[in-house]
Order: sequence, then C-alpha cells, then structure tokens
Amino acid sequence: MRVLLSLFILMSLELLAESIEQLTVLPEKIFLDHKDDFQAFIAQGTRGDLSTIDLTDKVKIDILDKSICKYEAGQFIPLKTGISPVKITYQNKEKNIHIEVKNTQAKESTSFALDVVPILTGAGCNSGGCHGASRGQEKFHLSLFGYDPVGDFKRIKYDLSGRRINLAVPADSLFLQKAVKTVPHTGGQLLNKDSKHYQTILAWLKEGALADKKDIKKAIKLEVFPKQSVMLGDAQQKISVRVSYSDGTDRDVTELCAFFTSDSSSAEVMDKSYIKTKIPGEAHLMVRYGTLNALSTCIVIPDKVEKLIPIVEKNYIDKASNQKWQRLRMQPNKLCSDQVFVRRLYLDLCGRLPSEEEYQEFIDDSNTNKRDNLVDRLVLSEDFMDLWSMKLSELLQIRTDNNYDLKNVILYSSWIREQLRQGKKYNEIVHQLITASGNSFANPAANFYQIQNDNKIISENVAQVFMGIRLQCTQCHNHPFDRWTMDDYYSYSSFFAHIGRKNAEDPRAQIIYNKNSGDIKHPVYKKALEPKFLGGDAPEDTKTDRRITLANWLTAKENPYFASTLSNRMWEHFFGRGIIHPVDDRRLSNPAANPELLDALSQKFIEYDFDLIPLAKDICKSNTYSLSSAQTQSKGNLEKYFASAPIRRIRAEVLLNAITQITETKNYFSNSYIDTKATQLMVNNSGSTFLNTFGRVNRKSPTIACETMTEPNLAQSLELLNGNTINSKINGSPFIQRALNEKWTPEKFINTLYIRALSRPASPQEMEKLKELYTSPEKLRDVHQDIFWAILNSKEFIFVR
Amino acid sequence: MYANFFSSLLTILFISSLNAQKITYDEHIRQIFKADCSECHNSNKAKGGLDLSSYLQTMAGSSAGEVVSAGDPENSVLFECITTDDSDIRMPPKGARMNKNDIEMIKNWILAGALENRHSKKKLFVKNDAFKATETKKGEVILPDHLSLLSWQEYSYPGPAKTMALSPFSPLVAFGLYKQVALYNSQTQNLLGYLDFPEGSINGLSFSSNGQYIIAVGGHIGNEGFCVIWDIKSGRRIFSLKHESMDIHVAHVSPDMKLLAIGSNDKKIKVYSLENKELLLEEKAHSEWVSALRFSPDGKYIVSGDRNGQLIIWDAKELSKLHTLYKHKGRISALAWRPDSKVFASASDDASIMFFDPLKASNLKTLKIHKGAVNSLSYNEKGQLCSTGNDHQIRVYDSAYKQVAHLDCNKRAPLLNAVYVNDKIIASNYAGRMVIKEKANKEAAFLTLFPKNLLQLNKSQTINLEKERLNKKRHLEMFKEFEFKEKIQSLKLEQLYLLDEIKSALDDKTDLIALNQLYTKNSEYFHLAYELKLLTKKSQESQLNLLKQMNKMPQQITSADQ
Repeated sequence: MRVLLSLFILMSLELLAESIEQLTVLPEKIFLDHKDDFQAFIAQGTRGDLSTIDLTDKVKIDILDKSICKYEAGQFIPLKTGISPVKITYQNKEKNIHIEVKNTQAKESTSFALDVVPILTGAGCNSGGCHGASRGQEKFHLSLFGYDPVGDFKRIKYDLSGRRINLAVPADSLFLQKAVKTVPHTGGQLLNKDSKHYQTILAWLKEGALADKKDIKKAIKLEVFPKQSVMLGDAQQKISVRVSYSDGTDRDVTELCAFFTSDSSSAEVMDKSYIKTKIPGEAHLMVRYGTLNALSTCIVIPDKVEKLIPIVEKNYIDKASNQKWQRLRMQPNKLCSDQVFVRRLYLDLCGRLPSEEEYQEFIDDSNTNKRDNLVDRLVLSEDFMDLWSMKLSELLQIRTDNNYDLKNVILYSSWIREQLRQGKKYNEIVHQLITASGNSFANPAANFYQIQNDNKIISENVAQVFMGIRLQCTQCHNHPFDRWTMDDYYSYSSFFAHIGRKNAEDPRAQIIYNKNSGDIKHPVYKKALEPKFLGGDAPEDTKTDRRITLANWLTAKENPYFASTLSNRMWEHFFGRGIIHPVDDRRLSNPAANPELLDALSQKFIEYDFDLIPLAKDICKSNTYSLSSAQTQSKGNLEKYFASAPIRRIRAEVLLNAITQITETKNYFSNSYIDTKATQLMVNNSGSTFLNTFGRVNRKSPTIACETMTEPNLAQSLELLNGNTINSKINGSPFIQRALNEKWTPEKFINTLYIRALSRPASPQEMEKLKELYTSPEKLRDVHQDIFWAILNSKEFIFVR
Repeated sequence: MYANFFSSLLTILFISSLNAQKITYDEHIRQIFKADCSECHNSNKAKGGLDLSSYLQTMAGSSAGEVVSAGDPENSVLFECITTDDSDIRMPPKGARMNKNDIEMIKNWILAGALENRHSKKKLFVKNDAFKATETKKGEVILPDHLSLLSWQEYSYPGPAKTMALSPFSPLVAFGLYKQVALYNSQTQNLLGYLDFPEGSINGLSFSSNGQYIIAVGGHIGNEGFCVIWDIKSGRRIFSLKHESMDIHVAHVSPDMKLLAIGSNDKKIKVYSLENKELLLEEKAHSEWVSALRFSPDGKYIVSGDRNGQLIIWDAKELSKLHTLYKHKGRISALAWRPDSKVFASASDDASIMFFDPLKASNLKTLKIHKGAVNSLSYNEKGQLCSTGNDHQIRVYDSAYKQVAHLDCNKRAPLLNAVYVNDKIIASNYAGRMVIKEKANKEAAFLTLFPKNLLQLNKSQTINLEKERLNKKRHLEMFKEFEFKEKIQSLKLEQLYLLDEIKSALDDKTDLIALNQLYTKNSEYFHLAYELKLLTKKSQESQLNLLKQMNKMPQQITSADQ
C-alpha cells in the first residue's frame, strides 16, 4: 500500500513537472580555492516557447567523486583537493559541471580591499547617503562604493588616533560595534554578530588590521548567472554573481553585490538571491560589485499566449519594432486615423497646426500613400529646419548672460540655422564647432568655447550632447552605474586642455586658439593624463591640435556613440521618449528599450552621411509612428516599447505658434523681426511670459529633458484661462472678425474652428451643445470668443494625440 | 567573593528601594531614552529639534513645541509617539516597538510630574575629600610604591597606546592602553605597573600639575564615558565620573585640582567641580566634536579645539568664553601650553602648528614642519615642544623655534604621541611600541608595550611572581574599597535628599504615616551605609593582610613564566 502511495505521489510529481526543451546550468566550471570558499550555481530550463523556468531546486545533483566537494544550502563546498565532474539532471536532460578544488587550506590572510571593503559596500556603509557622502557621516568618510580602498584603510585604521578600531581586543572595536549596533548607530544594525561578514572583519582586525600588499590581485570581471531569462509574470529565478580576479581565481559574491533594476514594475532582485517578476515588460538587472558592473536581462511575458497581430512593416523601423513586441508578447496599438496623423505630423515636422486647406487636401486625397507623400513634402519645409536649429541651440546652451553678449547670441544662433538651411550635414556642423578657432564674431562657431570657459565642463558637455554619456560624476569618483572611471574622465578631457582664449578688439568677442600647452590635473595623481578617446585608445597622432584629433574621432562613421545619439534624439523628437531614455544618459544600467531599433536607425543615419532629413523621413513614414494613442487591452508598458503612441504635451514654442496661427494674430518678441515664429527665436529670453510659463528651455545645462516638457502646473492653467496672451489674442483675432464680417453660420464657425485647432470636425453632440449657446444674434462676437476660449483650454488642444 | 555577592545584593536592595519611590529622569528615564531614542535625538543631531539626552532639553521639547506634559501622559506628544500605531508619527520609526516595561515607566514618570531627579526642587552635592589627603611641594619626585606589575587585561595584539603623558617632575611616563594605564620609568624604561580602567578605551591621559595624580578619560567608545583619577603613589582610585551620553574625548584638570573640564562629541565644554561633581559650566561652544582641551599651567585659561579647527580660549576663573580663533583649517589634534603660561601651541590636521598668545589671542608663529597632519604636541618643563606627524617624523623645537632634535621613523608604523625629556625622545606608534631615542644613540629603540612581555621588558628588574599576584589582588581590593566608598557617597546624597523631604513634610504637616515611612527609609539608609562601611573596612583589612604576606616574601625569586 505504502509503495503504491509513494508511486502515486512520484507520478503526480512527474505530471506536475514541466517539460523543457533545453537545460542551462551556470557556471559550467567551478574553482574552489580555500577552505571557506563556496560557489552557487543556477539551473534554468527553456520551454518550447522560449520562456525560461528556474530549476535550481528541482534538478538532481550527482557529484561523481563525493570526497572532493559537497552540495549544501545551494552551494558547492570544498572537501579535498581534486577534480570532480558533477552531473545535473532534470527529466531526460543532462548537463555537467566541472568542479576543481585547488586548495582546502584556510585562507592565508584577510585582505582589506578584497574582503572587508566588499562587505562595507554590500551593507551600504559607503553608499552616497551614508559614509560614502563627500563628508561622510559624522566626518567618517569612506570612498563611494569603495573605489579608494587605500584611503578607506587609512581612515579606518589611523583617523582620530585609531578611535575606530581596537587591536588589543578586536571585538571591542567601534567599527564592529557600530555595525552590530552594540553602541548607538544612526545607520542601524547592518551586520549580525554571528554572520560570516562579521567574522571576516573580525578576522582582519585579529590579524592586526594589516594593509594590503601593493601588488594585490584586482577584481577584473563580474559575471552574473543567468545572463538572460524570459519569465512568465509572477515567477522567480535564482541569481548568482561571480567575480574573477587578475590572478585567475574567482569568488561567489552574490550576497556582497548591490542590485538595481531598470524597471521595478517588471522585475527586480529580492533578498540578493532571486529575481522576482511582476507585470510584462523588460527589466535590465544591474549588479554592482565594487566598481564592476554586470547585467542580466529579464523579459517578463504574460502567461496567457495570445495570437499577436503585428503591424504592417513599411520599413526597417517597423521590422525592429515587430520583433521586439513579438519577444515581449506585446500587442501593438492600431494605426491612427488620418485626422490624428495630419495634426501629429504638422506639429512634429513644422511646429504648427495644419491650416484648413492643408487639412482638407490631405483628408480628401484618395492616394494610398498619401501619408508618405505628406512626409516627403513637410520634411523639406523650412519649419523643420527651424525646429532643429532651436533644438541645437538649446543643446549648445546659446543664451545671454552676464558675460555673454546679445551680439554673440544672435551671431551664433544665426550661424547654426544657416548651416542647417544650407543643408550641411550633422557631422560637419559638429566638426566645425569642436575645431572652431579665431575671433568669435568672425567665426561664430568659436562661440562654442566662449560661451563656456571651463574646459572640463566643455568636455563633459561634448560627451553628453554628442555621445549621450554623462561623465559629470567621474570627475570626482568612478561612475557608480557605469564603466567610466576617473582615469577615463581626465584622459578624455585632456583633449580640451590646450584651448586658449584671448580678448579680441571688441570686448564682447574672444579669440579662440590652440595654445599647445596647459593641462587638466587628475586630483588623485596630481598630474595631467595623456589624451585618450572615451572608451577607445590613445590617438597615434599627437602633433596636431588635440581638438581636431578628437573631432575626427567623434564624427567618424565608426564612432559607436555619435550617430546613435543623434538618432536617439531624433526618435525622441517624434515619440516624446528616447529609445535610450533620457536621451543623454547612455549607461550600462540604462539600456535601450529596443537596441536593434537604435542600431538600425544609427546605421541608416550613417548611410545617409549624417543627413537629418532622410532619417526623419524614415521615422515618420513608419507605421510605428502612425500608431494610435487610444487605450488598448494590451498589457505591459506599451509606450516604453513604442507599441502605442504617447499622448504628448505640445512644447511651449509650438503651442504659441499654434495659438498665433489659429487666431491669425502676431507676436512681438524683443530682439526679433516682426512675424518671427516662436520656433524661430534666436535669443533665448525674448520676452514672452507665455513661453516662460509653459517651460521653455533656460539653456543653462545641456540636459534638456529635465527642463522642457515640465509637468503641467497651475500657472499654465491660469495662463490659458485668463492670461494676457490668450485673452488679447482671442479678443483681437482677425479670424473671428472675418467670421463676423462674412456672416458665417454658427455651424460653419464651429466646424472651421474645430478643424483649425483640433484637425477634426466637431462631433454631432459637440455641435448641438455649442449651437445652443447662440441665443441672441447681438452677442455673436461674445459667443464666438467664448467657444474659441473653451477650445484653447481643452486638453485635446494642448496635447498631441 | 563574599563581598562581591554582598555588594550585588546591596545594589538590588538599593534599586528596589528606589523603585518604590519616585521615577526620575536621571535615574530611570535617561537610560531608556539612550537605548531607544539617542541615535536621532541626541545633543549632536537632535532630529526635529528634539534632544532627549538631558532633562532640560527633553522638557524644552522639539521644534514643534513641548513633548512632555508633566502629569498628563495622554496629552504628551512623546507618549503618543511611542504608543501609537500610526506609522507616520510612531517612534522609534523603524524596527521593534519600545519595551512594554519602558513604556510603563515613561508613563508613570510623566504621571508623577516628570521629575528630573530625586528632589527636583534643588540639586544637592556630597563633598569628596580625597584630594585633601596630602600636600606636595612643586618639583617633588613622586613615584608609585608598588603598582600591579601584572596586567589587568589580556590582549591578542599589542594594541597601540592611543595616548601618553609625561610626569612633570618625576621620571614617569604613562601610556593609555585598552582598559589599563601602563606606567614606565622614563629613565630606565622599566615597567612600573598597570592601573586598572575596566571602563574601556583611554582617549586622554594627563598628570596633575604637581605630578601627584594621573587622570584618564575615555570609556566605552560611542556609548558612555568615564573620567578616573588615581593617586600615583598608592595606585588608589580617588575619583570617578560617569558621562552618560558618549565617551569623553578629552579632559584636563586645573592645576589647583578644583576643576575638571571635559569635551566630547556633543560639541560642549563641560566643567565639573572635582570636589563634589557639580556641573559648573555646560556650553555648546563648538561646531564640531571637541578634540583637544588644556588648562594653562597657571590655571588662568582653558583652551579648547574642535574637529573643524576652531579654537576657543576660556577664562578658567569666570568660566566664560574669551576668544574664538578660526585659524586652523583642519581638526585640532593637540594643544599644549608652554610652562610659563604665556604661549600655547595647537597642532592640526592642516599640517600646521600655531603658537598663540592667550592674552591677546594673537597668532605668534606658524610652523609647517610636518608634511601632512600633525598628530601630537607636548611641552616639557624646559619649554621644548615635541611633535609627531603623519609623515612619520618626530621633531623637537625649542622656544626660539629652533629644531633641537629629530627622529625619522619612516620605516616603522605611523606615530601617535611623543614627549621629549632630558634630551631623550619617547614616543608611541600604531604597532603598539614605545620608541626611545637617546641623544647619544644614532638609532631609536623600539620596545613593545604588549602586556604579556612583562619579563622581557624588565631585564634589569627581578620580580617575584607570587608576590605580584598578591599585589594585584591587593589593588583589586583597593578598587573594591573605592566602589564601596562611591556607593556610600551616593547613599549620602540620597540621605540628603531624604532629609530635605522630611523637612518639607514637617513643614507641610503631612500625615504621620507618610512621615513615618520617610523616617523608616532614613533608618534603612543608615543601615545600608553601615553595611557598606563594614565592607570597606573589611576590604582595608584584607589589603593590609595582603601587604603583610607580600612583605614576608623574598624579593629575589624570578619566575620564568607568568
């Protein structure tokens, strides 16, 4: 009976077990170096539909030579020096791990940099909010995430006459007592007295708190297992991290790592031991150990498999999008209507609304590729170039301030616009800017160096604007979320060390020249570093002006960042969100939402010889751009993967253009020609409260994303409700006057207004409601104005659908 | 053993008799606040403007107003915060709730009127007459008779001596080790013995100006502080002061042995009367941890320095601030007065040593003789200034700012402190070694301060280990005797309060039963005091006995191992 029962249980288990196509076991080779060494492994099964399942606790582990090592609590632990294969089986699948125990002696000594610092990092002691802050807590400063172990050692051992440690009775050290909170500690209890980590620090103290030898091994590589997983919503997967050292040894450091996720609504690492998934989407899990980073990609898909209907692929953009959605099992939205499209396209490409004629012409066009035709036409309009000169001027921070004159601003702005109008390619413009020399009046590009006189900041800006890399934090410490180090920063910024500036005849101008000397000192080494390309090698040619060398490298087709950053910015212009988002924050922990798409775009951009127009054309012609923004049933973060068009706020300049256009009024900006559009302004502060209220860029930093597209606020609502701009424009609108003169019927007025402002006719209900307002013919003007006002105040008007 | 048992019994009796009485801030509530609230609501940090580390500050409330409403726990914000379930205001904000008993205790404390101490109307003090015992002449050589040569604390590593001090007139140098003070003869480098400091680490060590006493401060680092004074000759404790909130970083006594000034991480300068432990001055004068503090040899000034490099000169008679000096750019690591009191020097992490005139508060001279931070500074009686730096150098300068001696310890562990006496440098380093450099010798000698190496240290000395064991016991008895005396002192204080209470009860014509209870308590105190006196006497007798036994023993026997 009992046998039967157990058989039954076994069978039911067998039934419950899922069938898999492939078994992955990582790491495949395990080395154990000393008595206390250990290594965890993970087992991952791949189902028929490519989704994965955690099998770590379900597989059978068969150590062939049981005297070599044992498996306990998820870890392999050494017993005897030797080699043993380990057979891992699950159902009919089988994998082998090679385990080599190199040594079973106790570790010779505890190292501060290799053993103690990682514990501090793991417990968060040296994080930015605690002792990692520049002054530390109570002046006890540790280097951020332990980038400077030598300094940390000195501070712990010698500061305040050795107050923090007690070598005579190591367990009584303040350093340890704070961590376990036997004395009051604001940071709380971080270690347990019987934990391994406590013992490690205690061991270091007992050995005399020795400094590390100079040639101590370095952590050089961080591996995370599994590297990728495709999981159903609400599942778990064990995660394990291993670091390799310069001497060939390695170590399981899972519990000493810090874990971050790019999207906590999809997946994150819990308890430093397993991945937990939530809603469908994609999360890049970043692991940091000291200054090393590694990434594990986790795709979360809905567990119900539905038939996905891909969009019709018009070009490479749609292809890359479809592939992405397929992987995420994400159903894209339907295509938008012609009415939505025409408004969207005019706003995006021309920075204004379509006129009634333009609207009617497009709607009436029965041509099947009328959308493409419209794109072809609009992209060549001067309006589009105005939009991009404005964008570039913002990125280059062209603004007046105390020591930067209006004349420079106008010359510089006009120069940018002239370049774009002449059809200069993006790489040529950037090359000219970076290599600019001479009088900043005669050669306005030289203003690039006059507007900012701190060469370090210029180098940071070049990295951020043209390469999408934020280097600012590496000025003082290694980047906590990326590969960049202080050495990278200072060897790259050396390219800008030789810039010379002297006064020109006109005090407002400067002469920029190459002075062939000067350096930017590395604060740790106290000397300048030889120039080296960011993420690349040192240049071979050291004779020419360093800026020319850099500009050549930057604008080369081979540069991995240049084309991709502009493509990403272009994409952001049309979708309100970069493929890498924010657009100028490219880093390991902030990966692209669709890397294939970004690659394809930048590849094309290079093929087009850095011409902006064909790139914009491709994007606008894609069906991905034509998707509707209406609500759908589809699950997951659609907008992040561009599976649905976002509803975007219209930016300040365009909104003012649109209002001016439909009211047929004029704007009066200071320092500008009459009839200048808001998108054509050359001076950043040409007076307009409207633009300020709706958040135009103040151009004080290259990070535009933070400044424009501000959250809606009360001031904006009030400006629309009864601000001067709106009221005077409506009251003095020649359009209303025309309607009155020509004695339009209410229907005609309402419909024309709807088409002008919202690019659609009024719905029957709206028409009915609005017509009711026309009670007496004397008040015709007032009612016209009221309706106008109401439409300008509608959500539909201030957003792009 | 018996005494030990009895004393703990007494403590229990003592506490339980208190429990029946009033709950007060000083005796009950402070420790609860310290355990559960002090991380955020201390005098240093005071989150929300609330500092619970002292009675006055607690009653002053937070930036939002009063938190304790005496007599009315329900309307006390503090009580609400520790009892509520509302996560927005509950305290402590994270982790477990406060212990139920503690909450009950706080409730009763507030209910009974939130008293500061036994008798909140006025503060009473009991005089300590220990300092009156002997009169010494200035310049008299005072050496310890027979300290315990056996260490009080076993070490796993020769922990560095964080502090050291040189006796003004005697050939005596003291090192502050963990939980004990080691005294050495500065001429022969012979160990003279250890003083027991079970309170913890020693942050500061100094001799009284006549060389009769030695003062150690420190405590459990990061938790609580102590100041202890010993009589050098007998090795007997004569004074002990507890500093509740934090270990005492620095302290110094006035030359007339009347005042004790201390500095800690609460940024305050506190001055106590050594006679009766009355707190005479408490002023949050510094913007950072107080890191150095010294009375001038003539007793006119106190100068204090902090971690921000700020220096304050105080009038030691009026106990008021005279000058604040913002000259240094880094932590003041040490202060020293020239023996004539006309100049004091300050050493700082900013790599400079500055000399000041205390009267004019003017900077007389700045020496930059060390690369990197200057760690220590000391004047000897000849007015020669000895300094150590992070650069592993010891430099001695005379009063004309001329270098008279120099030692480079570049190949050895970093240095802590150094003194210069009779053309000899004595220093201590982080490897737990004493560094000695005679003028005649080219090389410095390094002697370990590791307490286990007793025999190795005393090659010229011969000791009788059995005798030393008895001696250690004798010193332990002395310590016990001191503890008993301290208890008697606090009993005396209790009695004074009680007498005051009886007096006011008589004035108020309280009912006889209550009055009778007070009388009974008074007699209980008498009884307790009597018991304690008996124990003291017993301890004294056993000390004498031990001494007798020791004297019978031969001097010349050495033992191979301790």
